[in-house]
Amino acid sequence: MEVVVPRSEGRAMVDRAVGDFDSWVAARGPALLRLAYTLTGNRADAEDVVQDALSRALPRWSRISSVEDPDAYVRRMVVNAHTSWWRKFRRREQPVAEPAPTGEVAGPGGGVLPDERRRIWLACQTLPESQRTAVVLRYYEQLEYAEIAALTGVREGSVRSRVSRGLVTLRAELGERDR
Amino acid sequence: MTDFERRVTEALESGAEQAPDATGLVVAARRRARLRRRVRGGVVAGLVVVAVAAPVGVVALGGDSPSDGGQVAEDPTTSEPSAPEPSPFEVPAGWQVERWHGIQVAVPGDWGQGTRSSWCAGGRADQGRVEQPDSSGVSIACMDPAYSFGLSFGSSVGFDAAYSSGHVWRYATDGDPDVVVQYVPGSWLGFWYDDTRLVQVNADDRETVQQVLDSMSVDEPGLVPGG
Repeated sequence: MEVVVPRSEGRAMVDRAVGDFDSWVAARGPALLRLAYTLTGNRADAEDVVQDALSRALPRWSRISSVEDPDAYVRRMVVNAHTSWWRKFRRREQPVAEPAPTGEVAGPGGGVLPDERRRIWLACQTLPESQRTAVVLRYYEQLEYAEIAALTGVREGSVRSRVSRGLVTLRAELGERDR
Repeated sequence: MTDFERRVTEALESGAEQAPDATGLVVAARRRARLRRRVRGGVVAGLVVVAVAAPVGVVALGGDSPSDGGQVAEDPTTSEPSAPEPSPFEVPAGWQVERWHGIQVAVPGDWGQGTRSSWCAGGRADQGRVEQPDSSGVSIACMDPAYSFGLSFGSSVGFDAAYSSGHVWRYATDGDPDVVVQYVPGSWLGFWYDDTRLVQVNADDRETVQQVLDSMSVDEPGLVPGG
């Protein structure tokens, strides 16, 4: 049975855990891995990125836990680790997978089916790294453009441009026209 | 949010469910942290250098310190130095002394006082300034670059360093027009930090930055800026 924890209560649980690294990782680690996985599209790379960020956070955890928002701080470290990892290995911006050539199937109530979600997911993975990061932070992490700009060190206008270009590419990959 | 954006969100959330689980994450992170300490500390037993291995850029959150969101160009002739040892304080001819929370440091005599992020209010980016957290100045966020030459004192709380304390490197943006230009491209950067204090130096040439860092005289830890 799924246990539903009210958002405010869950937040309080995390707050209590911030002071202790292990407890904090236990509470926030899954979310960090999900973020890393959406950025990298690869489970092993996601683990590598998160482990790298956490291993750098650990020696200074007493300081990090005292900042206003440790979650945002470590999330930033994860994004930086991903960007650094990408550059380190000189992985060029090439498609890693072709979107599955499946037809669109309307779901109950007009919702999307897992099949379409998979196509969008795969299309996201083919985006250039800078666009994919912007799209993920915008639509998965639900961050504002200004927050993404601050987090990635990129001008807000450029963030908007990257997101916009990413969406255009996704639509094209999925055979959709701008609406 | 448009229908397409909503579908993108749903697809990303759905895909994220395939992420690896967090079992063993703490153990792996601790193991990697130990390995990093060994690599950084070499064979000198007990020597712990709090350092960051990956050049992920310098990030400051919630502090007054300039952050380095751009890319960095490593000086190939530079090995990774350890933090400068406290040394007899020496003031080169024509330089001036700055003090802050137990730190004494010499800077070029023509460096003025003020906020480095407000250089565009009647100044130039290549004019050095010495900035303390309570430095008065016009509240302007200058751009291209965001910070002028000079030295900044600040709190190291929330500072995520790309390099170990004492490292000097050259700043570059690789010409990426999307990257916010934090410092004068091609200029040199150096940091010194301990658990509570942070000193950042930026100048046109490596020698100046190194000389500033070498001149530092640091009290024992214990002073907590702003704390």
